[in-house]
Amino acid sequence: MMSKRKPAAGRTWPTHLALIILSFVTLAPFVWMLLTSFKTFEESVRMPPAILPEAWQLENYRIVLGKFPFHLFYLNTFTMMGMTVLGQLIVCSMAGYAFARLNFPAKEFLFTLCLALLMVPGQIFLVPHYDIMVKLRLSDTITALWLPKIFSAFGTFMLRQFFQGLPRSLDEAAMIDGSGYFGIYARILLPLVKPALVSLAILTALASFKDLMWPLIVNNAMDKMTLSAGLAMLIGEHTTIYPQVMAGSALAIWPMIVLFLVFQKHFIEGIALTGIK
Amino acid sequence: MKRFVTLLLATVLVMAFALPALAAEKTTVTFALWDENQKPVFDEIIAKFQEENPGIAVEVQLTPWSQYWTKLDAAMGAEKAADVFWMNTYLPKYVAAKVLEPLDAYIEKDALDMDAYVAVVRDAYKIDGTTYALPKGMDTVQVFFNKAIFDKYGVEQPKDGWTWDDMVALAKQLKEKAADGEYPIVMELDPQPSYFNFIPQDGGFIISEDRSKAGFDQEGTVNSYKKVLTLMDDGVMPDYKVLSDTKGTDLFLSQKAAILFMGSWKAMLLDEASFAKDIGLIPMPKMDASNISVLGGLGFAMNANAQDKEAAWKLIKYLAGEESNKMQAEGKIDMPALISAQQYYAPNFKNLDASVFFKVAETGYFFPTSQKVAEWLPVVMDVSSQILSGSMSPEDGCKMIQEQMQPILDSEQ
Repeated sequence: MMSKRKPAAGRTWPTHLALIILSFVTLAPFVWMLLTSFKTFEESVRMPPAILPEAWQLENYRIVLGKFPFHLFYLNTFTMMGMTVLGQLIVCSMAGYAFARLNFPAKEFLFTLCLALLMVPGQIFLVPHYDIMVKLRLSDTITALWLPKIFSAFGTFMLRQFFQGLPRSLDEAAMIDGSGYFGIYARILLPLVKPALVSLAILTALASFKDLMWPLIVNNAMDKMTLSAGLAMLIGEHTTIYPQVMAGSALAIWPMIVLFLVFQKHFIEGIALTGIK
Repeated sequence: MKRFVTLLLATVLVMAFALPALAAEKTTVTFALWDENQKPVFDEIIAKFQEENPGIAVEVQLTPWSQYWTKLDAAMGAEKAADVFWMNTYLPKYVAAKVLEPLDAYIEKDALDMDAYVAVVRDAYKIDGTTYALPKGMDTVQVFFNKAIFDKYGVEQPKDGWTWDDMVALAKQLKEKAADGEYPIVMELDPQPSYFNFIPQDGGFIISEDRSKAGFDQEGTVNSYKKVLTLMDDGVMPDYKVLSDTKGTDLFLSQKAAILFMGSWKAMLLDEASFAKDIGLIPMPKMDASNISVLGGLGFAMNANAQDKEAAWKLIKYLAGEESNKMQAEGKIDMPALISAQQYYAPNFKNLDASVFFKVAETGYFFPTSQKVAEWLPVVMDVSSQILSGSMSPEDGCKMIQEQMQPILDSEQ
């Protein structure tokens, strides 16, 4: 049965060739990053470029690890990612449920307001967020890294759409069996929108990992910085020692690669589901 | 499930409102800087300062250059900015916003000798007679050249006192013999290492001394752009595309360029190059008017909202003082603007003759600025790129800059 459906070998090779070429294109920057991280500065800026380092330098890794408390960067980044994801899943799913199912005054107005937030570039909120954190006496803390990020207009909107897609009869059945609104939300509907929750979690985790400006603005102390902020510090006003930046990048990305490999299936589904990367 | 969610919510709330650790009894001064390369030396300087001032704890805040000003502005708005911070050409903007503490009273009280600093740098931090920052260091722009390339092709090395025409003549000789991919002259087309020097060298100016007039309607200004374009047309300098793809310094470090226009800020890097013994240093060639070059530099400024201004002043005084300057000079991170500490800088170079920097500094003029520099400088940079890439003529480009820059200057008054 299987062999019948398999296309002839002669016709798969163009597809494979294209895929191999595209894989190289995708992988090339990563390979270049790794190669550069083992070069001396002079090799890294050489024209025409030196592809392989003459002598493989571990020096760059030693310097970068000596400059920054990388173990704290990892810890802070994961705390920030974890709390942001958790916060958004709770806040956005509750808000999404409320907008989809409950009736309350000014519901349409509030939802429009929420949609309007989607149109505003995130940088607009930098200063107000910072102001609020300062007033809460939370600037320069790990909490400040994630607290303002636990609400997301996009997440609320997305989950509301998913909740709305579920038949109302489920709610009614639960209600007849004596469930309250919270019970319907937590026990009936939430498990049904799990794929959407996974997508939101992945997208949020990615955005949180990449966020650079916010950690740099709200926090001052080196031990309260994240990986992205730490890497940015290696970029100087006049001089950037590229091999060190690349060594830092190589150290910074492996957790994301591991995360991707573990959740590979969900990643692809998540992006396919929402059309957003 | 319900209990689980409630528990999570509770955890989130508790963590959010847990109070940050209480401050220690010592008075704390925060100090912001942007250069990671310089931080190790500043950590040492701060350690020494704290030893001598046991009552003051200094907290160093490092923010990368590209986010430094955004952060400073945001923090100023929330009155949470550092007490002491690095300040550069943007000083007038912050003075106008009244967020910098005038330092004259402190200087007077401690009888600090301001003549101990290089005058141009010292005066750069004075606005309408009031001093807002103490000088940290300075940087100069000059020519680095690869002696080995001149020798290889049997071309005479440049000599101090040379003119722009001398340079073009040498470059043409090199060009005849050079292989493909080798360039007689390279520069980085940012204002400070290139056209901000050439404009006054050719008799123009960027901004008048009283900061009221833009100088892009001057013939000299237009001509200086033309001279740079002529270098490209003659093939003695790579065109805009090559220079924006590859930094001039990188071509020089690859030993593919004979002459490099570059700032002293790359001196440490060049001194450690594998061919550093072949690198010669010389002041810029003279154009029609002079060979004066831009002098850049930083200062230490105090936040007008600093909590403990006496402690902040003590730190500034120490940072701009002899010991701190000596440590920065020995670490090769900055050329002292404090004259008595300049002797510590040049001897640290293994290969480069760093005394040239001080020679250049003698005739240097400070990086042009005004209150709204943050508005007009991007215009100047953007249009200059268009001129140098050939998509706009020098005449049209300068006219365009003038038309945009002058109203900005007029609105400052």
